[in-house]
Order: sequence, then structure tokens, then C-alpha cells
Amino acid sequence: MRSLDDLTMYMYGLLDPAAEEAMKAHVAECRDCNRLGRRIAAEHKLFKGALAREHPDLPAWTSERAARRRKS
Amino acid sequence: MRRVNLLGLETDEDLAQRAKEGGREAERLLILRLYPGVYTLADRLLHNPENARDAAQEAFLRAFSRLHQYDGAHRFSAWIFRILVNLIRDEFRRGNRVITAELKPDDWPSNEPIPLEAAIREENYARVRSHVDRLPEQMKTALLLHFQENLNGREIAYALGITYDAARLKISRAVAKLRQWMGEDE
Repeated sequence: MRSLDDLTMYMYGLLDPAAEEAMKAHVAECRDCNRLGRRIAAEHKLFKGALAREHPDLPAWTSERAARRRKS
Repeated sequence: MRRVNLLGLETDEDLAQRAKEGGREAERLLILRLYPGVYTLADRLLHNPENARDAAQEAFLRAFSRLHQYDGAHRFSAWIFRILVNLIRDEFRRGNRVITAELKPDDWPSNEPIPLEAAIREENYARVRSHVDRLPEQMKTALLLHFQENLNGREIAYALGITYDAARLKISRAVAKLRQWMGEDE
């Protein structure tokens, strides 16, 4: 079984291509890593939801800037 | 030939090229696309909406005034996040700008009932966000660039001005810390 850290980097897409291929092949065969990978994926989804972008209103300067440049 | 993505839209990098050539509409489109992410990251690092708006505005102004320096080696978003991170570190964190805690009526819990599932999800999200705020600055920024902005390891390294391995290590340690703190909540 691979380490939690290696599996995390794999599930987060942060491994080099060669390491990623090797890990992909391993996870397909290893039941424990497969199970842990699913838990990491669920955790990733939670973190991603929590840290999703906000949707701020566009500030006035964006249109002011455009208007000013149009005049010049 | 101009590159387009699957939806037939120009990429940020194409827009940056057009903006470099004086394209005002391209500049406007880049702001429309990237402002939410730039503002969100600034707000999460500064914890002050007013300063976050200032930082986001200045990041765009700097980016557009230095477009000739953008070489296309990384995605345009990684380049503007690099500008923002440096700006926050150099100006907003060194006391050159006033950072004041702001408490608005919106910050108080609402009395409106919300469905249980949504309430639990929001509670979990709030826990994650509060733990992320406990992380050291660079770890937190690396994590936000991954989860919030979908930047890859090399782009995160570029935005933070660190090596690829260092960026991966920061994310790995940040996630380990979050797991530890989330576990302690249970």
C-alpha cells in the first residue's frame, strides 16, 4: 500500500506524469489504496466546496476605466 | 492563428496578447473573467473586503501596465495571481496600507431557517475555512490556488515564486494540518 501523502498528491493531480501513471496502475490493483483514494476524493470535494470562489459584484472602476479609455 | 477553447471562446492568453496590442475589449474581458478569483483570494488573505477590492484593482492595473513582461510561459491567471501575491506581501502586509477589521450586519448569523442538509454542509465548509485561516501564509495561498483556482503544481510554484517541489510540499503539509485539525473537531 502506498503512503497517504503519495495517494493525496495523486488524487490532487500533483504528481509528475510518470509517477501518476505508476500510481494509477497501482490503485487499480490495490484494494486498500482504492478505498483510501475514494476517501481522499470525498475530502477533496469538501475542501473544494468550502474554498470555492466568491461571486463579488464587479467594482465601478472596471466600467469607469473602460469609459475613460474610450474617451481618450 | 487564434486559439479557441471548446466553447469557441478565446483563451485568457489570447486575450492578453490582444490587450498587449492595445485591445481594450480584451482587457475588459480579462477583468470580467478573472476579477472574481483575484478578489476572492485577496479577501481570504486580507480578511477585509475593502482592502481586497483595492488589492484586486491594483493587481489588474499593474498587470495591464506591465503586459509587455508577460511571456506566455504560464497561464495568464497564474501571472496575475503572482502579481497579487507579491502585492499583498510587499504592500498590504508591511503596514504600508491600512488593514482594518470590518464587521457588517451581514456577519451576524441570520434568524432565517435553512434546510438541515445545507446547514450541515455550510457548517463543514465554515470549519474548513476557519482551519485554512490558521495555516501559515504561503501554505494557505498554495492551497487556495489549488482548490479555488484549479492551478496546477507548476502554476502554483510560479505564482508563489518557489520551486515545484516546494509548492507540492506546502500543499501536502497544508492538507495534513487540515486533516489533523478537522480530526480534532470530531
